Amino acid sequence: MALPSDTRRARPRFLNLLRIRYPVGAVCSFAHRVSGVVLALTLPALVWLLRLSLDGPSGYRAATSLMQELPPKALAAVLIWALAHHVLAGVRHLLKDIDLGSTLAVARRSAWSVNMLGVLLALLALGALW
Amino acid sequence: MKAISSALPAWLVQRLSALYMLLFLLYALARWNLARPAGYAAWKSWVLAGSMRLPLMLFFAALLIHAWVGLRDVVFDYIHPVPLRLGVLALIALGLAAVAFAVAPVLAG
Repeated sequence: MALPSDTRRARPRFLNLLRIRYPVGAVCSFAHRVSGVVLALTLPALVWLLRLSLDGPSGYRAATSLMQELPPKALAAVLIWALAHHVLAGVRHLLKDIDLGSTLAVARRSAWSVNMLGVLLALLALGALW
Repeated sequence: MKAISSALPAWLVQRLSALYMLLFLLYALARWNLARPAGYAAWKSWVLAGSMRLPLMLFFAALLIHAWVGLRDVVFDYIHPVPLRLGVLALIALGLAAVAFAVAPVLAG
């Protein structure tokens, strides 16, 4: 599907996040990226926590009592949102690969569902954490 | 990482690692609901049980590869000056290698 070269040149090409519009699919896709980066950046801390929890009974106690504090709990809620959104948006992506849900109407509905479900799961996690 | 991405296209690496992690998460959730470990001994044997250790090792391998491809794509999109781009990529590679070195002895444990 080669486009005429002048059409291709006329197409605006920028990734300035302040200048592009955000339909629901774009929100889903952008949040997929943001959640991925958030998960990657917190990975060292999570591995540290895993190590601590496996470092004898005292390490385990330290890890569990750390998770009783407010800031780690708040961070956990953010991470649960990030994981839920990233996984759900990823599944949506994989389904599109096999041509499921790639029509605009379905894609908009699934993007909306993914966005809402991610937030809902994070709220449920908040409820479970407190 | 380079060897992997030149043997398989990055998008395929990303999808295969994603699929594995998805299956692993479902498996881990099911296992968690079957027997929630309480206390250090139960937690340790939950993590390092025969039915968990190898899947968990593969999970971390998939996670590190997936994070590398994903972060690399973000860097390619938003960081254009070549020296800065290479610097950030090197930092990411170092960070992921550090995670691998931190997690390996625990799983070998």
